[in-house]
Amino acid sequence: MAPAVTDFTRLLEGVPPGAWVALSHDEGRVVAFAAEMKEAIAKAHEAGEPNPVILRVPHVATALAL
Amino acid sequence: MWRPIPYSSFYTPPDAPFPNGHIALRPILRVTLRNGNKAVPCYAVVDSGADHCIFPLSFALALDLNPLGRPCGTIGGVGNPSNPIYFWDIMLDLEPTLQINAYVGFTEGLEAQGVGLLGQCGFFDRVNVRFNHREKLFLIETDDHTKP
Repeated sequence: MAPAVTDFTRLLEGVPPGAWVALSHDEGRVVAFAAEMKEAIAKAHEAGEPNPVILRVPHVATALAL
Repeated sequence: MWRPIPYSSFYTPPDAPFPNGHIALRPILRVTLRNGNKAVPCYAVVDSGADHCIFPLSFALALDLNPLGRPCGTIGGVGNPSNPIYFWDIMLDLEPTLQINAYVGFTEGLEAQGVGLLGQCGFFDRVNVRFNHREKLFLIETDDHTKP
């Protein structure tokens, strides 16, 4: 059986648009978010997550053609 | 060995062409960028349309890579035909079994997305990839070459 699709919409619910997000290393929860990436990482370290996974919530959720 | 990886889903809200919104499925990989003892765990879209592997410029700064004085190139995409870009040799660590040393670009042009792109040079020239959108997964072949 194929593994389940990762639902980022649910995972990132409540994070404001444009924010940098630090996820737990197991990618299961948002540990911290902030306007700047450095700040999100620092907050994650303070919260006890030494190795957060970094991503950003777009300012506007649109289709992508990269 | 072929490793199956599920697509990631992102909801985009209603707009004129999609009045009910849209769920985008994207082939996204967890990757850790490594430069010496510095590491940035992040995500990257597997993008066969990208010429190179590229990431947001802020990831370079977190890896202690300084663009000041670094040769600057340009890279184009939708919306901007010419973004400044800086390249360094770093390691792409695709846990658990694949580590790739590659010449990777960093550009402000990806700051808004906050994810990288795994493109032709440094990714598709190192591994085989199969897309199976209907099953909502993609597969990456690592070294033992077992058939999928």
